Amino acid sequence: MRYGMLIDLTKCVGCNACTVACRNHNGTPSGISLHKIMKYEVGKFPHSKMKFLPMPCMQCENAPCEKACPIGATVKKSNGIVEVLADKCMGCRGCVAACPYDSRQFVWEIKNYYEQAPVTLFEKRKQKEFQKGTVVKCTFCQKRLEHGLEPACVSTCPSQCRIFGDLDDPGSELSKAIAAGNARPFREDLETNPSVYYING
Amino acid sequence: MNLETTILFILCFFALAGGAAILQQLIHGFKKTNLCDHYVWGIYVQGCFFLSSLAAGVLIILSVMILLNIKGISRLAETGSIIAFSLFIGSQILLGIDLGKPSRAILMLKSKNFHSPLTWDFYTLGSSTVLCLIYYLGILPQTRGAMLAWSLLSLLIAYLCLSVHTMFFLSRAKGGYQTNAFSGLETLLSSLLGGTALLMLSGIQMRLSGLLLILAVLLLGTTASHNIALLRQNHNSKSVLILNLAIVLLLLVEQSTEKFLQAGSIVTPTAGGSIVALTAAAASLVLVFIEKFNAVILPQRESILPEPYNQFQDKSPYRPSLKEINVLIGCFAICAFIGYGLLYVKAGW
Ligand code: SF4
Ligand code: SF4
Ligand code: SF4
Repeated sequence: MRYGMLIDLTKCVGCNACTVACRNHNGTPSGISLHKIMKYEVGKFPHSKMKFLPMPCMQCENAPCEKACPIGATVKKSNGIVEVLADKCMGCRGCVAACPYDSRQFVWEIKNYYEQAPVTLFEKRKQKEFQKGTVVKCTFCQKRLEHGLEPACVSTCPSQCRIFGDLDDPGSELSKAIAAGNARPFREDLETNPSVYYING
Repeated sequence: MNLETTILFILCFFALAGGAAILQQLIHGFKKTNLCDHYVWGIYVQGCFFLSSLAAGVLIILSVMILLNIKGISRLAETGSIIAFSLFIGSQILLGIDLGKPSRAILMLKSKNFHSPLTWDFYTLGSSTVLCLIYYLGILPQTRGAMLAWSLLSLLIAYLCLSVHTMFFLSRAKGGYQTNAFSGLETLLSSLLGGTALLMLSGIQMRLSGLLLILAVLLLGTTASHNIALLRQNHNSKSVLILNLAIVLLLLVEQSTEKFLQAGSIVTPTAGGSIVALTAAAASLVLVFIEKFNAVILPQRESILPEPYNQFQDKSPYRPSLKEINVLIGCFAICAFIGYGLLYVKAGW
């Protein structure tokens, strides 16, 4: 079993619903986002257009972040998910420097979304899961997976450009879609062997 | 009170102020720093690399001199081991306060992930410190064999410590400048330059300006060739080059005026150094500090993701906050206090 994701860039409209769903599900403090969308412009005016590259953690099989962690606080699980053990991480940020996909964030401080207003009940509960001075990252929403649900960014996508599944199962919808769409990982040349694939748009 | 004791008291005052700044950082975390997700490592790591580079430079010079059995270096070796010891301590303090959860650093002893450059950093810094302490305390048997073993080990570990510092951005930086693992000639040369400069400034009765000149010339050649080779990659080490050139010119002036170019004058046991040579030594320390800026901060200025994906990413430069500068100066003061204090005890002033 190796969890993976396919993102079809031909369908992505750059609405950021995935980023919002991710923040909502994980309750990330203000300033922290486990998902990002890189916006960029191609072509020259008047024929230019905006393009989007949604980026969860690539859950690399050959993960530079795991190698960089001196105390084994970044671990790769048997299902392919790369996780930070918050109770172990010493906040050296070696993994942030090593990640070639900019997929990690350091919790500099835990801030509310509405600084002037009191912390909401939702924030209060969720903020307990974050420790100031440690590193956080996307984990393919492993808590949702435990409940048989797909990651929040996958199930929320209005243009249904994401497919989630098992990369090790050639019969899975994910594996078939990767093969059919000639999908490839981002920055393949780095030989990190990511679990996230893209159909280029 | 004699002059030495007065200096010790002044350094003690600054070290206490430094300790207070460090304590504040440990209590309040990174709140008042300008560190962010774009610049995860700032002036603390730069300072750590700077201090450890100088310390490793001193240790390498001492080890080579002992290996070559150069006579009349006992004072230099004693002072050098104290300087290196205090600098290694300072670099570890800076590394420690840069951690989000410093108390968990103890887990390093258990985990031993030798894929990680940080693990190597931890062990090389720690063992270099112990090696310096062993020399300072004089517990090393005064036999040639023991001295050879000590110097070989010190040489290896100090070199490892330096090399490790060229590896942190390997997985994301473009190949080339400051990213060549275990062969960072520029890193090695600037460390030796800094170490020599520090020994000169510490007032040892040995003339090292010839050695400083050779190192400065070699470093100039290496940096210049790197710049030519990587011209298109816009690696900015112009300030290092200009400073390096100035150091070479200063030392050439000093060497020619003192007619010091005859053979055997690279390391000469005569008193002190001229003002020109000491200025060049001080400039060498500044050069090493800038070189560490280029090694730690510059790779972070470039976006992690390649073009065109980084088009709209913030590329503003990192400027350390006043608090960060305070902490750094405080740490330097602690180093100076430890070094001077140990010299004070040893000399029985
Ligand atoms: S994308 Fe970055 S954080 Fe995620 S597994 Fe790969 S190296 Fe680690
Ligand atoms: S910040 Fe935490 S997870 Fe990252 S390398 Fe350091 S200890 Fe490991
Ligand atoms: S998989 Fe979950 S944690 Fe990862 S980006 Fe998507 S919503 Fe966020």
